[in-house]
Amino acid sequence: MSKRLIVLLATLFVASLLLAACGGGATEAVVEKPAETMDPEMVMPEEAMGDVVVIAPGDPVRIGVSVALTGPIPEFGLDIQQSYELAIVDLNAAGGVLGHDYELDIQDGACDGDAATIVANGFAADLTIVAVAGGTCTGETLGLKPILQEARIPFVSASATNPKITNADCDICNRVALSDKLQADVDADYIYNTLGLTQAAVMHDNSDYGLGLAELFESAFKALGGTVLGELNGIQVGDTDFRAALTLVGTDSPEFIFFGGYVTEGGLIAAQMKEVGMEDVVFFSDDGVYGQPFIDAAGAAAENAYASFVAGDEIAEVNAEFDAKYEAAYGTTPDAQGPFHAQAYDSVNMIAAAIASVAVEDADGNLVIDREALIKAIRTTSGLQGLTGVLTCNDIGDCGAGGIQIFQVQGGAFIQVSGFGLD
Amino acid sequence: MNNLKEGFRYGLISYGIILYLNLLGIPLNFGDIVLTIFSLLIGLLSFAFLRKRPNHLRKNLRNTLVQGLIIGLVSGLGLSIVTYIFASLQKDGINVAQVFAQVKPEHTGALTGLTKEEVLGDVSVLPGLLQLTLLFTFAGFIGSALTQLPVEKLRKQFDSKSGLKTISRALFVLPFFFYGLFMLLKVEGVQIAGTEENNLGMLFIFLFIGAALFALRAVEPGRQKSILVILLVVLMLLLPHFADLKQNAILGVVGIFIVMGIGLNIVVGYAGLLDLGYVAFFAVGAYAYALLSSPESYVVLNLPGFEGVNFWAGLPIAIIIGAFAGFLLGVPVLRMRGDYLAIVTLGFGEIARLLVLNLRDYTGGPGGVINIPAPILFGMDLGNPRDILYIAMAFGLIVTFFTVRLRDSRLGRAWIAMREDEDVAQAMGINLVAIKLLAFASGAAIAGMAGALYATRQVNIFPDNFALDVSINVLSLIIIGGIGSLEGVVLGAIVLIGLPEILRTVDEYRIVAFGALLVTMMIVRPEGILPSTRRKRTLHVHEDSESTSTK
Amino acid sequence: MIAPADSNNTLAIQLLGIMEPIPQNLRQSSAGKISSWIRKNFITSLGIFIVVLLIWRIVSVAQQDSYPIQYWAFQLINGLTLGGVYALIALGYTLVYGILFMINFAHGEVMMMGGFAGFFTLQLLTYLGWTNDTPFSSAISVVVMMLAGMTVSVLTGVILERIAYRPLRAAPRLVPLISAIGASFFLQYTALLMFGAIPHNYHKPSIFVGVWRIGETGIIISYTGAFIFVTSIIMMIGLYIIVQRTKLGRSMRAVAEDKQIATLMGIDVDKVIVFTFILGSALAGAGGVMLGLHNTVIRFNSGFIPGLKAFTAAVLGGIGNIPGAMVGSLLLGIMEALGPSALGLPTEYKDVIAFSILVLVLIFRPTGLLGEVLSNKKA
Repeated sequence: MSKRLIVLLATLFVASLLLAACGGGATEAVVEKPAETMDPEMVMPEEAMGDVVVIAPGDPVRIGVSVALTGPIPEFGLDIQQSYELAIVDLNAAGGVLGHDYELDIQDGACDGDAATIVANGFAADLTIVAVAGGTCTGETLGLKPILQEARIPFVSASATNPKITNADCDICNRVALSDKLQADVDADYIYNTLGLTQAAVMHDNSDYGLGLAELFESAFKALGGTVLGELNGIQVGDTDFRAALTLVGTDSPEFIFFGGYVTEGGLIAAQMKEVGMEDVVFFSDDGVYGQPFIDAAGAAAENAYASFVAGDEIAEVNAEFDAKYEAAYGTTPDAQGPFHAQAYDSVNMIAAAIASVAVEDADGNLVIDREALIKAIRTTSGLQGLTGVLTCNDIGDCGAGGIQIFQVQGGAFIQVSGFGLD
Repeated sequence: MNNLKEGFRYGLISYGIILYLNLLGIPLNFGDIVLTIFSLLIGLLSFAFLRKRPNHLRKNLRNTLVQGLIIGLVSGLGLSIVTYIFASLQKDGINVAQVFAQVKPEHTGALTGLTKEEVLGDVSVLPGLLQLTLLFTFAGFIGSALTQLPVEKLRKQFDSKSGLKTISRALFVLPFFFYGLFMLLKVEGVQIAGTEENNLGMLFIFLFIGAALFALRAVEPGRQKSILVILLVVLMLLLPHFADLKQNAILGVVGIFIVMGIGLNIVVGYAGLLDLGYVAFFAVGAYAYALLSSPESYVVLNLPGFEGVNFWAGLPIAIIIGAFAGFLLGVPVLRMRGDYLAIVTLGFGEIARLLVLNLRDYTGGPGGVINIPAPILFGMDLGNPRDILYIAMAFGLIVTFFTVRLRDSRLGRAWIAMREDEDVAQAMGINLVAIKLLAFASGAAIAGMAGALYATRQVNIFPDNFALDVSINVLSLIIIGGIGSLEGVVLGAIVLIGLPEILRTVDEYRIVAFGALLVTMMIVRPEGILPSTRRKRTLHVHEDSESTSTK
Repeated sequence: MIAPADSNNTLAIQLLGIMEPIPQNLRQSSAGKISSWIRKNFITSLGIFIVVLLIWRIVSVAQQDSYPIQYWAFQLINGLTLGGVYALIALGYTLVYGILFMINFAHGEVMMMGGFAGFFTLQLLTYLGWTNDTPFSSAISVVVMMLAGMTVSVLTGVILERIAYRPLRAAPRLVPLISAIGASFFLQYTALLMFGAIPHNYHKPSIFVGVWRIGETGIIISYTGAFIFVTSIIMMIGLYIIVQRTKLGRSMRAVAEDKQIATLMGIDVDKVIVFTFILGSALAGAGGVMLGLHNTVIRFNSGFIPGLKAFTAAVLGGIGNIPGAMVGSLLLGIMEALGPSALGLPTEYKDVIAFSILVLVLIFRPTGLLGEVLSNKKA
């Protein structure tokens, strides 16, 4: 490289900084200016005002989806994706919104914040996306959150349960799933008061979700008067031999192990406990573990294990109808695939209901959706009848109905033993 | 007879490739056009196999055509047999997808022209398979016939002087052509090939940058080149203004990887120290800035009165901490060479990630550090993808300047001497300890810089962002681009980081393709796409280089 | 050969002058002998410092809450089982490195392919009712699984060598490394697409269900764990005999020593290299099936972490050295099992400990615990 080139580069560097400075001012205008939209079909009316999405006649209303198709829980992710798709099929069969169909833009959030950040940037850049369904996991949703908030795109998660997902500062953050805070409290109460166990060992998978839940459980259990032995012991997702960790945990002679994490590791821990002399120790886990894949992974060792679930207030007939549709479309029952299908179906319906309430048709026959109005409409959802019960959002965006259920594996299947909805 | 046997062998190889793609789920994901894709592929394979044979065999028309037929027939029959077996199993209600996840009834249907219900029902798959076999045979035949075209003659004509001139003129024009195509997409009502416009625009941007690099290489220094450079750079600077948010976001990531690539280039390309744990310094830089700036980080929450630094103050700190980390990790590995160095640096990379994951009281653990503030300059928020891209471009220029100066300095020559032969370099009076540590430290400082930019771009960072694959990606991109070459880094980043982002919709295939690309590149062009001239000489495989490479 | 260790370590002070090392005798006169030794052997003294710190930590943890001796024995057994699997994979790395001087980065994926083959064979055998019928049929089915896993791994390994490595044999070492990394991605995501992202769960054949309890000590050995350990030892001894005693083994050593001279001696280098890949891949395939049987799960990325650990173990023991791979693997397994409790850390630190041990060992012995044996040439 010649000297002259270097001088040139230096000049350019200064120039680029200057340009960057100008760029800062210009950017917001770009986001708002609808003429920047690249799809020529979607040319906006000239008097477009503020932050709105304008959809030309015949074009679909697009909803972004971030779902964990890879990562630790691909089965659950697929279940959620298929339920989203079913919801869209049903919505479109019912006529869509003012003659427009709904359409999903499905992206793999991979259950982690890194992938979700890229996905969210994609949605933020795509001016046709009005709302997002997802993400599947806690870390993934935390990755979506700040970017979507900046872009004013509301999301509704079907399955992210960590308390950090929703808070008063985030007006676009909503979820149908219940909070882990509630789950940890109910689990601790059930173990301490109903099972009468007081000596706990708490393990986690070092994920946002698993560690978060483990910490919540630890404090809830201690508050009740229980003892948590030793430190929280973590395992690594991707490992398959947890015997050494379990042997260490076992030296404190706990009465039960509470595991915060996902199904593959949960199943292996439940199975390997029996190989390190912890046959009589109870295995108790969470909604990331609840489901058929756990029983497949742990085999015979799954028997008598507990898992709690953030259940909806399900109505039997409506759900049976959904299950039949699901099986016809995908060849498996939803329960064999994962636990969050009803929440997923409801979250898309919740978004659609809000869109229907704010969408208006302008003079040219375009569908106009005001972003801020949509955010408000989702947050003020009230009395919406879904598969998981009557959905009503509170002021921080927790919209789920129902409560925590506790299940035990009996005879090779999860049987509910306590909690919400059990007479 | 020999002739048939050879054809049969080629046929089996083609069949193996087709079967592999079949099990990979191409029919399921591409639907009805799969037969076209496969046929084209068979034609191509047949052409490729039969062309590379010795001349006297290739000239033999009958021989060639028969072999082409055999290639097509073997692949067609082979695929038909497998599909027939799968179809029979599916008719019996056995779920083949439990073994081969992609082989669903729709998959069989796409190959035989039936619907899912027909495959599961009573309709026979045999007519479809017969059609498939015939199609493949025909494709193989066509491929073999094409080998008889007088390609040599055409190429000879092209290789003459006028041909070369045309090429270099084309190189000159090509970047502007792609830029024009990209701008054309901006015009209302224009749609090219009906693909997703966003991705197509992205592709044109990449082609523009790539072509620009080649053009700069090809054009002789002089006034012509200066004009070209100025034009291209102006276009490049304007680019972020025309690109949309998503394109800017992708270019921003590419830019960050370019900065990292330039840094690793110092360590691996100049000093010849194989570092597989480069991500450690990237993580150090990112976490240094994140912890000092995020209102929710341990440092900011626990230092009374400390509100967090802004980006421009955090950046030098991240660079210094990065350089210090490079120095620190450099010390224990001073005595190691080659692959021991590789595995130890790899270990350091993993240790860094695991420590930020496990020291959760300080680093936030798996929850990462969230709400990292955007850079602010003269009161303007530069957190959007466009401004991040400008900052990345500026960083790229700064580190380019820095590395060019270093490379041409006494230190740079000492590095190259050490890379070529440590013992000789030491005998020449070069202080290996010092220059090794300086290589690690300057590489790490650049990684720290990239890390800080990455943190501010991502807004949230998590330990998983700093896994081994980042190190591998950066290493691969400098090697694909051409080790030791700065233009190569840019090109490598576009190929390995940029292109896959466009292909996100075919997510898993892109990583398979990425792997295949790395292998192919190493076999076909080990010196990289745009090698530095010095490296090109040393990396080219000679017949006699075996003895030198094992010594 | 590696340069003498102490010649290039005169550290910090020399940083100022890049080219001219400071003459050593200038400072020797005044400073004490210890300080001059430290300056000369800076890295070694750093290592000693860290080791002292470690011992201090272990002792202080042991005083605080002491585990019974049975606990350590139990963890030792866990570690040996883990190490047994690492060893089978590490041998593949070591064999290939010893002959080609290249890191076969895709070796973990070769193992994973074997694990999948074993899984599908197991499904078939379970379907046929072999696995749980009689102890004999159950044992046979295990043998069949192992053979299936080894066959598929060998095929993968040989194809890998033919396509991705053979054309690069004369290239500088970075080139085959990148090729191997590419092959690793390729195989991993091929498995993802072909077999799906879902974990596949092994159901142990009946003879493997159960554990031994050793008296009242509370030590438990699972059948699969014992099987892994014993089989891996047998296979390693077998391998050692092949390399040391057979004609092919002699050819392998000759090729490792010098390819050109080996060719002159009438050895078919290609054949020997393919044979090396066959040996290494067969061991990896067996390892994959055993890992699946022991931990009951296989998925597309199952090869990655064990592969990385096995590679670490091979380097730890001295890459290219067969007994070294074994010692390194067992040591790594034991460190992972014992490390967290010895240092009083939570279990999530086990990998940090494993990698730190590697760094520490290489500080003292830059060519691994047992050094390189198969060949003493280095590029």
